[in-house]
Amino acid sequence: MPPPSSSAPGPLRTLSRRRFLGGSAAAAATAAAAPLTGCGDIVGTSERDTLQFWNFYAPAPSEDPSVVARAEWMQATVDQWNAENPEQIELVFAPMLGSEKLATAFAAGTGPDIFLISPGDIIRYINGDVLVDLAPYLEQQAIDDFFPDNMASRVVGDQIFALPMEIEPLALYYSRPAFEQAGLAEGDLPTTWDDMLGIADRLIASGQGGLVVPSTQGYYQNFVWYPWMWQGGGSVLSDDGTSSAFDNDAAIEALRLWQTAVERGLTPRVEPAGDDIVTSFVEGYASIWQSGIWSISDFRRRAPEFDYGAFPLPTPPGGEQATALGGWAFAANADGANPDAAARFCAWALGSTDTAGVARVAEWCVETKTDIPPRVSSLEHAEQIGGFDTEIMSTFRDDIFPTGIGEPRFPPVIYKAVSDAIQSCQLAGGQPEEQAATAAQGIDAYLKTYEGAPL
Amino acid sequence: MASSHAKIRRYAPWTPYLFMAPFLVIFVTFVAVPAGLGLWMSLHDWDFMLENRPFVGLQNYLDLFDPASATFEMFWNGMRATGIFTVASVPLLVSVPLGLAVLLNRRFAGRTFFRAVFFMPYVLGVAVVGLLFRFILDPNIGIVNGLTGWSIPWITAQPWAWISLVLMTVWWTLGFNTIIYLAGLQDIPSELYDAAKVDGASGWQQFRHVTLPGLRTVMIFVVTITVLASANMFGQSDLVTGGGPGDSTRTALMVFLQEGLGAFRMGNAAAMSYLLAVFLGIISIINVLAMREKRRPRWRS
Repeated sequence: MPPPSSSAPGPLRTLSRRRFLGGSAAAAATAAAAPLTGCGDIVGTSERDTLQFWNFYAPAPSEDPSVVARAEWMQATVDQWNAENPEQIELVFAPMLGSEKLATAFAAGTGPDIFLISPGDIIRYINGDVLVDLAPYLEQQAIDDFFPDNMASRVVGDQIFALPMEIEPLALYYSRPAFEQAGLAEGDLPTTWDDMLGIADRLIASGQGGLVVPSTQGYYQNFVWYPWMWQGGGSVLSDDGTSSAFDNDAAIEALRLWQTAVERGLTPRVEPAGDDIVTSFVEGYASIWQSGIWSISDFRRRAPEFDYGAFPLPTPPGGEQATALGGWAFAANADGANPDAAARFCAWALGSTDTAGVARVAEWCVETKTDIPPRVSSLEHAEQIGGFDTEIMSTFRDDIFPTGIGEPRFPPVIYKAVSDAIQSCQLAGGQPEEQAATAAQGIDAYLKTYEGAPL
Repeated sequence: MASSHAKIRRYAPWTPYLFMAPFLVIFVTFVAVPAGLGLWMSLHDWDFMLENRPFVGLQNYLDLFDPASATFEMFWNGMRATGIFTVASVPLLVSVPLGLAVLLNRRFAGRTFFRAVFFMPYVLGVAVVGLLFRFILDPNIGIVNGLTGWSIPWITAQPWAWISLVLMTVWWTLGFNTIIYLAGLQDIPSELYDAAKVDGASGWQQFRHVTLPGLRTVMIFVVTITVLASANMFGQSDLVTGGGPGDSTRTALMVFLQEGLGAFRMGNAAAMSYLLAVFLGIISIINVLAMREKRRPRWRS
């Protein structure tokens, strides 16, 4: 409806009080009812003409070059599918996809046809039986092409419930200018936890920024914390996944490590510069930062001249190197408007074995972003197009990725128990032994009644 | 006349319901039905994502009293946080507005302006106030630490996080209680103050023996709604501290939200919220009983 013209005739000027109140009440009722209809253009799955693909890349929400580049890859992929197939797909920008939004949409029967999902959040969808098994849509050659350890969190038996688009190992980034200011050199890069705290101490003492690990509660913080526990041989669950193993020395020591770093003033209680590693390094707010391989592309686009490096996470005494492998995946809604087309799209976009399909995944991982491709063939293609020619990319591929363990898939209750232990120790003075025991008790109580896919 | 009178009487039984209908429709839709459904949910293992939602009787309630259950720890942590906030904020939210109302009830130039100024924060939504204080108190970029040169972790360490949340809540909501007190003060007959002055009562004695007894019923109302509002605190913690540091400021409502809409264990969340409702009902009854007039004041009898 067009807006009213400024020369609107009489009624507006002669509006009686009763009519005004009546109109206001109607407007208020409409406004009050609006949120109840859900978010924007999201409609029931059966009413859709096109398939909706919820993602947090496209349409691009900002002018940030990194964001624009990622949006372009998403758009190009969908455009190509739409040109070659009768079933049309529409990209819907859905920020905070890892939050309640997606789960609530599914609970209300308005889940998207295709969406991005992380390992940390996938289990409830697997157990809710709302994901299409993508295995029948993939050639065996394609299934074998994916790195199995990284695939594991998306697999139940022979069924594949999501296809990874990237592998994102974690490391410690460091600012060379900050190290130089503190009189530190490459040879001083820490290899043990004690070394790491000592180096952070020296950096702080010389007026440089500290060591940043996440302090905000969430799936991401758990993901970043797991490798510190894994290094000491610890785990959240027993090998068969039926009981808690969290009350162990490795978990306790990892909790204590993060606590010590905060208590000694080496790690800030709030991530500096709005949790932005590039700004923090350039402005000197941080000197060491635990982040994933994706940060390379952020530096490349936003601070190409800045001198930085990355090294594997230091280890505890007697520990082994480990890192967590993150990354998002495409999943198809089994209760969507056209689950078959949605599944075919996922398999085509990320699992095609032809040259174009292999290249598509490689380009996303090393041109649009900086990631490890989730498939052997795409990794080889990425190497051929120079994706790993830089020192830092080859460090991630050769030194860090091989020590990686896929991000575990835990139900929200287990995630939360671990998360509360981390938060309590890191920021609220909780005793690691007590917090680990409390979390283990809560996990065991939950697992007694858990019914679902193996964890 | 007789026929029209009969006509009116024939339709009279519906009239009150028609007048109440607009309210009742909203009340039933958004309060009564959800409350009933919540009670039903609390008796089930109710996960939105799962089709099987077995009846579990009172198990969800019993779990809240079983230290070995998955919900015990988080629920009572949330209740403790809610209790701390209520105990810390209610005395301030009852006493500061009272003092302010007494001041604003005096005659002085600009009185109306100051009444508006003190009420103004209350019209802001919790999202506005929360974000405002989130940035004002930020340890890195906050204006408070920036201007003073302090390095106080206002929102990231205890006891500062509680101090921040309580003070911002007092600043935000004191205007409402002040207005209620002001209305109550204007209801106290001025003859009582005149009589007290004739009897030689000091300012404090007038306040103690005239103002406070005159505000008794208003005070019951203010204390009751302030306790309920504080016990339902959610937005400030969610926006300013995120429930942290650790889970120290994660109030009961935040726990319910996480359990219900985060973990999708709606049965547990519903049981938790009903238990909180029962607690608040008991506290409200105690509150009214404790402050009930034992004898009507003489000036009213």
